[in-house]
Amino acid sequence: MSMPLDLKIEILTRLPSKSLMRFKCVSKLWFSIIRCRYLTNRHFTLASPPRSPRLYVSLVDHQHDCDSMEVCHNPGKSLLVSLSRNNADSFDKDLSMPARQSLTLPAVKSNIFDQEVRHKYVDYFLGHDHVLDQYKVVCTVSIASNEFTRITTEHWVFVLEVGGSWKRIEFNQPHLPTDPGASVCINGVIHYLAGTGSVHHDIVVSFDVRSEEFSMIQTPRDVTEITKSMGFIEYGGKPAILDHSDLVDNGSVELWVLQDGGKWSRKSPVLQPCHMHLVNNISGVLVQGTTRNGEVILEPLSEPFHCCILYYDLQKNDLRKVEIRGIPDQEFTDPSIDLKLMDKSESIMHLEI
Amino acid sequence: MASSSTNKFVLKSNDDVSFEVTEAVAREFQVIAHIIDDDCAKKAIPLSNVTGEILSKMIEYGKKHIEEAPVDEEDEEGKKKLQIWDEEFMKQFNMEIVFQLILASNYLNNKGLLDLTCCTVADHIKDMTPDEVRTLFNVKNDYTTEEEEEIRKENSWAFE
Repeated sequence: MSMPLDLKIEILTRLPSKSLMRFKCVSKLWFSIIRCRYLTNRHFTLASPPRSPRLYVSLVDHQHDCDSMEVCHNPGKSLLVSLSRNNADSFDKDLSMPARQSLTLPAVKSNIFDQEVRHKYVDYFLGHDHVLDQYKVVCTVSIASNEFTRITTEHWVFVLEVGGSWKRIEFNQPHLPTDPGASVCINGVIHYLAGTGSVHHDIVVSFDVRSEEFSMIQTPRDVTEITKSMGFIEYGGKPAILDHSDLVDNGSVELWVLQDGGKWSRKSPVLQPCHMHLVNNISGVLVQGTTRNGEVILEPLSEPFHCCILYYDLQKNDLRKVEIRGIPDQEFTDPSIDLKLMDKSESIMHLEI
Repeated sequence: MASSSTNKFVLKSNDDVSFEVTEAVAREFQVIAHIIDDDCAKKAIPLSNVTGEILSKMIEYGKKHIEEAPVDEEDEEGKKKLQIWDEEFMKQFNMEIVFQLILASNYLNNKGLLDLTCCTVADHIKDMTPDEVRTLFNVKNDYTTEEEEEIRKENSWAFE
């Protein structure tokens, strides 16, 4: 039986991702249909059955040199990227997705990384421009002298599509991203926290994925320094700094939300007494991201290592705990977890560079 | 002007089978609704791409969806009932008929039936091997053995 192309696509969009990946073998035409962006985008709206959000967990042996993951949400879908944060001269970055692809980006040809300095960092951020439906990876290479008095930064952007290559982007504010995992992409703009080397001068760096322009804004005056007990989250569709240094002792947190027009607003929620027991017996927490419905994912720090996570709904002031079971404990001497929340639908988008 | 429940139209298949239907049922098919709106529905409406066998099934579907239409968006029970009927309705057909129904519902523009028939095919083929899919869709394998092997390897998880 023959079937016009548009009707074949109608059928294919209703198939599970696994069948589609298998049917790439049917013929060359089927291969290209299945990979085309029209089908992958339609596949979201039609075929993805409603599912509860999924958490991607990677357990790593050491806190440092670890594989980390980056998730980018755009309306209705998300892309998961795992990156090897090598401190050496390799800038490889692996990308993986629900279609179980993996590809390695070419190395950034940095002009400053070879310099003889004490501190060298390479950070990656992922963003999506929903006007052109493009994913872009931003790479920040930074080097600093001993006391962090002299910082030099270089920026590169990579469009995730065929023929993509690293392109240098100018931005004349040298900075060190404070926590590479803590970036948010909201409405086509990537935001992350960074230090500039001078005291009382931490900034939020913003990168417009579409126009490929950087901008910056000073952190709130009350935040004298970005510390480990702060996290960068999405709150009500806006970037926000969450100071949780007082969470374990007093159940209180400080929240600074970056409003439109560059003003910071402050909130100070306090845990309900009935939730205080959830933060007992831990020394602190690490912010691991924000779910789509606005819950902050907190990783409790405890000795011995106990694999569980806390979800903190700041709007409703509700805290809940989720245990993660089934992790083999023999294999890891110094385990820590790295987790990212994925959207409820999955992308079968084909990645090619 | 007569109401759409009493107003009748005749639909004529390409093998000369005629069906008299109410205006409401006829309007289930967008293309026919346009013909009616343009006042071109003089005598019988000829449908050159649909056989009598297929048309009779489409009318059965259209009638059911008019008669048993859920009261409103909130009518979960009504929706569920119709959904069960849809499933039963599709069970009687072999793939060849389902394919013809896809073509006809696309031609006459009935979104509900197009979705239902496409879902039926998707459900039927989702666990098939590439070879079975080729047979069903009459697709020639234009890969060399090496090329096919490579794509299989890249997507080996999908063959487990």
